[in-house]
Order: sequence, then structure tokens, then C-alpha cells
Amino acid sequence: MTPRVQPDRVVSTVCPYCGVGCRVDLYVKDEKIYRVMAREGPPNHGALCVKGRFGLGFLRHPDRLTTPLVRREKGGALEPASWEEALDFVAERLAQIASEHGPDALYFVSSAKASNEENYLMQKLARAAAGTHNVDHCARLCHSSSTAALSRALGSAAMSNTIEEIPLSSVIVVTGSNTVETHPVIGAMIKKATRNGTFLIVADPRRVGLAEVAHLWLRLRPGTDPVLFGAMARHLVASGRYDTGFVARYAEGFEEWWESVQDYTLEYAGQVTGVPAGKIQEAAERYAAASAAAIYWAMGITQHNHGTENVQALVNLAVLAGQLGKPGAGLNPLRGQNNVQGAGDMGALPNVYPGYQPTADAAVRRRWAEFWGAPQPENPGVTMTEAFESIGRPGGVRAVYLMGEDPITSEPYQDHVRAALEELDFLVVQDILKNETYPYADVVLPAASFAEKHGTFTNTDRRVQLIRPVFKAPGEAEPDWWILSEVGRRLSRLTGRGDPEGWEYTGPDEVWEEVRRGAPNLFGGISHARLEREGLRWPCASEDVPGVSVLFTGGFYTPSKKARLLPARWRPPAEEPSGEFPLILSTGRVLYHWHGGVLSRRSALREAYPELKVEVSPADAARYGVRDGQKVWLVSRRGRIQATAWVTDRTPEGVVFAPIHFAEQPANRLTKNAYDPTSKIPSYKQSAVRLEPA
Amino acid sequence: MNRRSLLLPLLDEVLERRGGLEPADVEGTARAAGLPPAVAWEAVRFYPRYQARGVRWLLVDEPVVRGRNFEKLLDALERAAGRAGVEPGTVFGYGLEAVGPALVVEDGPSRRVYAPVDAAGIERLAAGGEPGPEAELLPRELARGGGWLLEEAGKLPAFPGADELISAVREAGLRGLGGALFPTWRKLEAVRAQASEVKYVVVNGDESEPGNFKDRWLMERNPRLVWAGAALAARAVGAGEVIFYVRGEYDGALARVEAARAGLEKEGYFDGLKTQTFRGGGLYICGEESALLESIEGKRAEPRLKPPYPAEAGLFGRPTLVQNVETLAHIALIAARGAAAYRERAPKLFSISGDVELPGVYELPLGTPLDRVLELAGAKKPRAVLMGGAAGTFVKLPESAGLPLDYDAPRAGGDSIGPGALMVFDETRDLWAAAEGVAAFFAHESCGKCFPCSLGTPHLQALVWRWRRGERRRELLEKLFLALEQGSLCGLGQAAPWAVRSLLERFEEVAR
Amino acid sequence: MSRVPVVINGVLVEAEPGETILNAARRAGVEIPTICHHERTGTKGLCRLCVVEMAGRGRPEPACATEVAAGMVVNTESEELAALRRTVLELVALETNVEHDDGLAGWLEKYGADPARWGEPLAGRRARQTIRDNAFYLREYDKCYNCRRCLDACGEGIQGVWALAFAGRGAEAGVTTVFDLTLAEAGCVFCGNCVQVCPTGALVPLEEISLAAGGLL
Repeated sequence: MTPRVQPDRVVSTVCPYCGVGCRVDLYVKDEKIYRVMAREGPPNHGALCVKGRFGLGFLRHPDRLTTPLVRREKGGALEPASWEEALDFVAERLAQIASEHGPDALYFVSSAKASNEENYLMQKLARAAAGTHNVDHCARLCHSSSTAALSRALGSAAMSNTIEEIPLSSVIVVTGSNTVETHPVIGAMIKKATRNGTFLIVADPRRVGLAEVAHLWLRLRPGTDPVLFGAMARHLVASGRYDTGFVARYAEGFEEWWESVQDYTLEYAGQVTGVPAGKIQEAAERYAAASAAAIYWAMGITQHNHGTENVQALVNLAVLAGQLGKPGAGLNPLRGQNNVQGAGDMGALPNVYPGYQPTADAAVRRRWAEFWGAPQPENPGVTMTEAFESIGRPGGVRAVYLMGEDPITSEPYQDHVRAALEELDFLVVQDILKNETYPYADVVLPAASFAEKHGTFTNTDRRVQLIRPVFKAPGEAEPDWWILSEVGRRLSRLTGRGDPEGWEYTGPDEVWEEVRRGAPNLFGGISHARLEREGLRWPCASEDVPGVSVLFTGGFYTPSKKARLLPARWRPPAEEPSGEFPLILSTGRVLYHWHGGVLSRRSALREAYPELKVEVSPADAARYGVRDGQKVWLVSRRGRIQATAWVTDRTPEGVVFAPIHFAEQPANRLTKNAYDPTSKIPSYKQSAVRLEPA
Repeated sequence: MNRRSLLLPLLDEVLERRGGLEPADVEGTARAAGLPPAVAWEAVRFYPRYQARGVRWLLVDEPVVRGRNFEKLLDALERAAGRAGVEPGTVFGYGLEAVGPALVVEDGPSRRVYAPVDAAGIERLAAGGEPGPEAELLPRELARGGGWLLEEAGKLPAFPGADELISAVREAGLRGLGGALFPTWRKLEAVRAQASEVKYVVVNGDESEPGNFKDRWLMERNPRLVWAGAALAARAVGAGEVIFYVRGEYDGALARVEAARAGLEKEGYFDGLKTQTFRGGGLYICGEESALLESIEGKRAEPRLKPPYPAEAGLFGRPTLVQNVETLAHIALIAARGAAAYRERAPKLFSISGDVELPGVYELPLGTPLDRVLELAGAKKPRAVLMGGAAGTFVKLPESAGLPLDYDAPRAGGDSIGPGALMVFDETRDLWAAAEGVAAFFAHESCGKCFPCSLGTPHLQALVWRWRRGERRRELLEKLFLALEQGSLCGLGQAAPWAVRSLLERFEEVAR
Repeated sequence: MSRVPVVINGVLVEAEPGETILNAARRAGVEIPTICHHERTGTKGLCRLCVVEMAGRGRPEPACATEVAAGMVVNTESEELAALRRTVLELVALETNVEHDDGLAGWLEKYGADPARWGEPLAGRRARQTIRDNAFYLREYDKCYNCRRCLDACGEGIQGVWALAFAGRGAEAGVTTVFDLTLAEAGCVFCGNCVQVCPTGALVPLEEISLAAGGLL
């Protein structure tokens, strides 16, 4: 290939969109990226999707934030300010609110789009400089239920297999994931494996892309996942097809679990899920009999008020079938954001320090107090969703520091979120682009994008990879790590927590060295220098070993080294469709856009998918008098939005599907702020709505 | 898993029912055949019969008529078609060299074939009449002199056992009579040795090599013998299914092969063996064995890279025995009469056309000298014989009069009997015109897969055309010969230069 | 697994079992010209530029599609191979707009190719229309060699989408879409993996075209 334009340089880095973490070569001429080429080797092996290939236009979009802005008085305007002023203002306000209301009045939202180093610094800012465990990131909204269930049951919440193992699975189960649109490169790999003989089982209410090539498609009713997977597991045990040796050696809690699934017969599951019992049986038997079977899932499993149970049901099935701990066999939550794995790994969660060291453990807290020279809070932190719900309530959160997060588009029940933001004493928005939340900010800190800084991202299969700057950030924008270290130094000085000099870093590599020392078991062997040569998977404890590919080959990472079988029961949704709101609204993503649309809608992708299309089944279209292509209103108890109807059998009768990318047509104006009690994940997949022709 | 439905028959069925193909039809057939719609679309855009073109009058283009009065006939056709408002054109093949010139009147997917035709016949056509006798079947009297293969099969041989059959075929010395002359027993053995539970036998009845019509004869007049050979071979190699691939344009042969199949099925001859008659894609390349398999699979008929050979990974990736129609008829003969008797008689069919009094299908003992064959056929003052077919060579007379027509002797001089075509040209004929026809044929029939053939054959055609009109670029021809013969992926491109080159090398007077 | 000894141009090379002659040669520092072969696609043996001579084989075989075998003796350059490659390269360059393929330019020079000696192009490729039917990339088919890498990337090799299709025969053959639709209608997901594997510059990002035109497009 000879590019039409001779590049000034070609920069090898990592795609900023999804968790596959594709490695890319960016061709640059006159400070413009004009061609994106996939690199060979893991994780993407020469392939890309439309977003990485053609969706980087946001980098040079006029909406980039280029100068710090400060609202010098309440009710006033956001005005340009120097970095000095803005940083001082942030630190002073945070310190003031912490001293008046306690550190837990502060909330720090880290970012799965930011680097590992930056996530580390954000949680350090909360824990070391502010003195609170109130830190979280957007995984709360996507895989927190996976994390909750997998950590509890297996001792690790990451994908147990690698992307390279996809062809090694003789059976693959994909559930609650529209993989070909949301993780397109992995989706294509699963399709290819299917062409080469892998038996593909898709369990999804929607006719997602993989359902079209699946050998078995289990079109279950939304939210009935624990019954489906519970019945599969029960059938394996009842028919003597489970892996007794594996269970005896590696599982605990069998009795209690077995008791809990007594009513989950194939017939009962057939009635509840709507999937013929014979198909459930075949799926179970094929899965168990496979030489290696892997389960992949995403938001269709997690974003329910029983999301943790859903994931636990998958854990139970895999453990009983012995489909763990060998190449091609495992449990694989497909992570959404490019660095959502890393954000969790770095401790941007209220309950764990970097490396998943629990904050509830006093010894762990002591260790970090020593490490940072800052006393560690005993109060547990709260989750992001709880934090937003607490705003305006006594003892609630009063100041929020957002890094790369746009809660107005991403949190459920948008009007409620807007009202909460209005009530905050202080809001920092640190971002690369103007987003929906930015007008509510008291301080806006312009950040550098992935293409304007150094650092590392960790992809969905635990591969830590280096990113490299392509060009200078626009205007006065600075990398998040720099901003956080500047705020950290100032806040530390004001709160008297820790050593302000502990915030002086020459660059992200120095931050990473601190991460290695802080969480040596997972990252001790990974250095930036090593990453210059190749990406490395954690756990990787020392420089002379490669990272671990298959998790659980020698038992589980729980204290007992065993996997915990736990009851996983179905619960009715927080909002059942009925009367005035007879349809279930499920929300999610489409191929061409990314989450709140802040990035993708500021690129060529906008042209390919310009506005909200709501998927309506032909039966519902007929029932509610809606034609394909017609403008419709979607109405819930919380609001209404307009959309264009797409009449398609992709969605089953009784369910409408709306993507979440369109700020002017925000699906989250409709969704209910109901949460899974364990993980506090919102139940985005089940809100009650009605459809009206517009 | 059951084998899926085959795409081309599904497309044919829609074509017949609706007279044309809409994208929705193609999509539906693709799903039924388990293929991506794009693959079905590729097939539609590849095989000529799926491209509906209304009424067309097509002069059959083959080397014999090229050597005679092709240009005059074409001129007459173009004028007549112009007056009638019909699209004129040419079409290759049809196996009518012995009774040509031939004309095809095409109306969408259906057609009628006439032979012989002349300028007056073309005038009659323009006036609404018939241009000549219909030629759906080869005339019975084209069979010259009788023989084992030309006699209609009576009682069919029983299966003697795999070892017995294969060793008899070996002892008989039978080779592949589609033209490659590869020892048949080896192919049988290779397929038999495969462990697969599913194996196929595919009968290659895609006789598209210009000058050859002996397979057509067998399919039309003796299809039971071919089916018998196929069934015996299937048992010997352990195949459960036979697919008989009949050249797409051979409507009469197709009907007779299918009738014979149905009859044998009814008689219980197949005894559990699955059988199917398959209308071929209607292109020369379909006769290349791996391209033929691709076309059964519903894809563009393009040759595969080898290895793997069909014996290891053939139809749908399964071990497959692909054998020519005549070869299978011989297998039945060997089973019926024994290897010794067969070897003694050494029968071989020859398709003889051109400047002979008695053109036709001859059964002659292998090794009969060329001059004896020409004498039998009544050749007067033969100057050249295009031997083998378009993928053959011009043999010069009288220099090569004594050449024994067997498997090996012609190879010493760089020739081959190929499938057994002998197109005879007397001293009045324009050999360059015939060669021009051969070059045009290859340019038209190149599938478009490999670069040397798809790009080289049009330039070969152009250089030969220019040569005949005085612009002689021998050095460029030599470059093309090398690139085509040494560089092409399959036999089509590799053989494309042979006829032209033999003319240049052997006939000084035309080379000058 | 043990290495496979093969002799390439007189030098003993320890090849990996199952690898192609092309790869073994590359690792030994021997470059063999190729157009159609790509690591990520199943396309091989089409362009025939990589054919090499092997002792005991009558005809040269494509190095990209031939696995090494112990004791194999391979010649990647000879007068005959050079002549063959020269002709194929000349015909490609005559029939196709090759101005954006530096790789091909190198091979043309190496083999002393003179496309003009063949006279006028015959395949009609240079008259193929450029297609702009989406927001991401352009298809300039006058520059397409029919190497089919894009087709394989779209279908079997990578993406499993089969938006692209190959139409026609012989010199007239070329890339189209399923039912000759626009890419979007054909089910294209615009992964651009076709652009990734295109060796000729026929498939090119709009951003690049725009930049090449000085931002005027």
C-alpha cells in the first residue's frame, strides 16, 4: 500500500473507542490524521472497525476544549482563566467543602477513557489528598454487576480467556452482547471461528448480528436470563452431565445452589423465557460436552436490577460444566471502554485500591497509608449511582469532580440528573470536548486526548498497551495526568494529607512505576520500557515472565482457591410494562456510535448514522400504527423523546430498542433510576414506555 | 449434516419459472444453498445463462468454421440480424464441429440450435424461417464403424469388488480421457485411501474443448454405460453420491443423462447410491476439475490451487473422484469384458471433423497411425490436423503421417491426443484464421482469476489478429507464450498458446 | 517442532514447518514479488508474480501457496522467471492505473518492464468509474488489479460480511458489491479492512483524498 499522501510521521498507538484495544498506525500530515491502519499481532491482528478506522475526526473538532474556564461567582458565566487560577480554584473549593462537610461530601469520577496512570492518580486524589473512598468510574454503569459477581465467586473480574483463544473454543455462548456492533473486531473473530467449525449459541432477545450466524439462537424474554442459565445448569446436574471432578475439586456452595434451582426445570424455563425447552436442553448439553467452551457477555446481562444474579448464573453454569481454567474455556465479560479494565485495575472504584486490594481490609488500608504517607479513610466509599442519588440529601455529595464523564447522557432518568447537578455546590468538568454536562460546571479543565499524550490502556483481555502522542493538544489543553497531579499537589497542601511532593511526576512512566510498586502482584513485571516492545497481560509479577493468558488454570483467586456457586434467582424488573406503558424499552449501542456520542458524532460517523432510530417489531408497529421511517414519540413516566421508527424483527414483540448516543434525543430521559442492589448498576435494559406516532 | 441444496439448480428453477432473476430471488436461493448472497451474486454475474439478454442470433465459433468461412457467415448474420432488429453475436463450442457451421437462436434462457447453416439459411432465419436442420442431438450416423463404446449398453456389469475393479483398471492401462491422460487407477486408489465418511464421484460431462464431441455422443446415445461406470467407481472408492455434471449447453445430452439416471434408479441399479444430474455452468473453464467442483458448490467456476487435489479435498472439502464421461464408460467396459480383452482391443473415441468426407465419432484402437485415421475418415490432401482441441497443437502433414495416436507417442513431439479431437484442415484452409479462433476462444473463456491468463489471453488474441493482418510481433508472442504457459494457474491459460505456437514453429510458410 | 531444511537460491534455509516458500524466503532475506498475497487474507496464487522454480517440478509454482518440504530446492530468480514476471508486470501496468503503487513501481524497475510495448490496453480497466457512495472511503477501480484481497477481507478472511462481490470473467472481471448496490445497501459495515489490505491505492480514505487535493474535496 502506498498512501496518496506522504506522511510526516506514522504513530503507533491504541484505538480510543472500545475495549478490544486495537493497535493502530496513525498516518499524519500537517497535523491531521488522514489514514488509520491496523497493526498486525494481538489484539486485533490486522483488523479494525469503522470507528477506529474512520471515526477520529473529533480530535480536530471545533468543540474541543482549549482553555481553562472558571465560573467566578454562582450564576455568572464560565470565563477563560489561566491554569494557575483554575487549578487553585479547584483545589481551594474541594478543600473548603471537605473541611465544612467532611471528605465524603466530595465525589471523584474517574474515566475509562483515560489512561491507567490517570485513573491511578484520580483515585489517589480521592484517597490520599481528599481522604475519601468516593471514587468510581463508568464501569458502574456497564459491568459493575460482572465485577461484583465474578470477584465474589472467582476472585477476579476480568476475562478469563484471551482474544487469541476464540478459535480454540469448540462452543461459544454469546449472551447480551451485540458483539458485531459493539466489539466489532471480536465479533468478526467469533463469526470466523463459527465458519471454521465452532458451534455458536446466542442467547439474546434481539436478533443481533451473531444470531444470524448462530447454530442455536435462544430468543429469551428480556431479563429472564437467570432462569435460562439456571435451567441449563440444573439440567446438567439432573442428567448427570456436569463435571463432577471439577466441581469436587474447585467448587463450593453446591448444596445451597442446587436447592435454589429446584424449580428451574427445562419446562419451567421454557415457559418463563419463551425459549423451547428442547433448545435449552441442547444448548446446555452442547456447552457441557464441548472440549472447550467460552461464554461472552456484555450489557444485556449486566444492566438489569438483577445483573449480579445474571452473571452469577453464568458463573454457576461454567463451574458446573468445568468450562474454566483451560485454553478456550472461560467467562468473558466484554469490556466496553478502551480502558475500562484499566480503570478498575487502578482502583478507580469505591471498594478497592489498585490491584483490587479491598478498602474494607484494615491491613490493606495501613499499607496504602504508608505507601502514600497519607491517612486512609475507614468510611467505605459509595458508588457513582448512589452518589448522584444522594445529591441534595442530608449527608449527600456536594462537590463532584468529573474526568471524561458526561452523566447527563449516561446516567438514567436524565431530568433527575439535571436537577441534581443544579444542586451541587461545586462541579469540575475535565474533558476533551464540550459535552452535555459542561454548562453545569464551575470549573472546566481542557484535557488532552489519547492522541496527545503518553500512557497505557488495558484492553478487555487484560493486555496493557502503550499509547503515544500523535500531535500537540489544541490550545492550552493538558493531559489528565498533569492536571490531576497539579490538583493533587495543591489539595494535598490544603488538606494536609500526604506529601505534596508526592504529586510531582516527570511523566506517566513515573506514575506507572508507582503503580507497579503499589500493586506488584498484578503489574510488577510490566514496565513502559517492556511495553515499548509488546503489550503485556496482567497478572505479570516480574520482568522475566510473560503475562498470564488463561486465568484459573490452577484454581481460583478466592481465599479458598475455589469457585463459589451461589443462588442466582430471577427478579421481576423494577418497572413492568403495563397499561399506559405497555412496552419494554431496552437501550444500547449501534455500530457507528460511541456511548453519549460526544466522540463519534463529531466525526465522519455522524453521516453514516445521523439520528436516533428506535427498533420496533412489526407486530408492535401494526398495533400502535407506526410505519417504518415514521417519526414517533417514545414516552415513559419520566419523559418523552422523538425518534424515527425502524420496523424490524431484530427486536421482539413487546420490546423497543433505542440507542443512547443522541444528546438531542436522549434515551436516558426515559430510563428508570432503578438499580441492582449489589452492584448499583442501573436497569437500562428494562424501562416501561409507550410508542406514539408523532 | 445434510448436504445443502445446490445453488445452480435452484437458480435454474427460478429462471425457468420466472424467465429472469431478481436480487430477491438470488438472495432466497443463496439462503437455501447456505451461501452468502454475494457468492450467489458472483455466480449470477459469472455464468452466461443468468444474464438475460432477450433474443440473440449466435454463430457458433470453432476452429473448423474459422478455417473456412467464419467471417463471411458472421458478416451475413450481422446484416440479417440488423434488419431483423435482433442482437447478433458468436458463441463458442456446442460440439457441432462435425456437422457445422452451427447457429444458436437464443431467447432468454431457452435456445434452439441449427446445423449446418449457410448464408442462405441465415437469410431464411431473417425471413422468419428455419436456418437449417435442428441439432439438439448429434445425428446417429455420426457414429462411425460401431464398437464397444458406440453400441448401446445392454446388461450392465455387476460390481466386482473394489480391489478387483481397481486392479483391472490398472491392468487395462486406462487413463483419464478428458485430455490429461492421468492413470485412472491412481485416482481411484487415492480417493479410496481417504478416511472420510463422505466421498463423492463427479462425472465430468463438461465437454467444452472445441473439436470434441465424443462425450456428447456418449451422453446422448449411451448414458447408461457412463452411469454404470460412475456407479462402479463410486463403490470402488467408497463414495455415496454421484453427481453427473453435463455441459450447460448440451440440452439433449442433459435430458438423456437424466432419463438414464431415472431409469437405472427405477431398476434398482444404484442400490442406495445417491445420484444427481447437474446442468453445468456453460463455460469451458467448468471442465477443469476443480473449477467444476466450485461450480457445483455454487461459486464462480474458478480453478483451485493444487494441492490439495480433489482426491483429498474435493466437493465441499470431501474426497472426490472426478472422472471424464468416456473414462467412466471405459471402466464399465473393463468391468464387463475384463482387463485382458479390453487391453487387447484398446478402444478410444476420436472426434473427427473438418476436411474429411465422413466426420464423426470413431472408436479406434489406441495407437492407430494418424494417416490411417485420416484415410478412414476420407481426408483429401490434409495439410494440418488440430489435435486435442483448442488446447491442442497443429500437427503437420504429411510430415507426421505415421504418428501413432496413443497416450504417449505424440508427447515426444510436444503433442497429445488430448480428449481425442482431430480437426482436419486441407491445403485450401486459412490456418491463421483457425488459430485466431483458438486465441479468441481462450480470451473469452478465461475465468479472470490469475493475472497471466486474464490479461494475457486478450493480448494473445490481439497479436494473432494483428499478425494475420500483417503486423508480426513474434517477440511479443514469445513473451506471452512463456507467461501463459509457465505462469497461468490452470491448464486453460497454460494451453492457450499451444496451437498458435505450433503453427509458428511448424508451418514456415504461415510464420513468415 | 523441527525445522525444515530447504535450499533457496543455493542457500540452506531452516524453514518453519507448514510455512510457505514466500515466508521462508522473506525470513532469509530473499524478496519475491507478489501482489495478491497478504498475511490476513486467503488470497494467493492469483498474480503469479511469486512463482518460483522448484527442482523436480515441471512448472514454476507460486511461493505464496506452496508449503516448504524437507529437501526442497528452490530458485526464486532466473532468466525465465524474470521474463515471465516482466510480462505479467507489463500487462498489469498497461491495463491498470498503477500510479499509486510504489511497490509495483519498484518491481517494474527491477524487471526492466516496458508496458508500452504491448500497445493499447485491452481490458477496459482504466475506464472504470470511481465510486463515492459513503462517508468514509472512495473506490477508484481504474487502479484495481483484481487481486481480490478486499473481497477476502470482506468475506471469508476477516469480516464475514460479504458486501463485496466479484463479477464477470476474464479481463472484464472486476469487483462490485452484492447485487451491485451501494456499499451501505450491500450490508457493508465500513470496517475498512478492504482499505487496509488494498495494495494499489484503489481503495482510499476520503480524508486522504481530501488532503491530497489540498483539502479542496
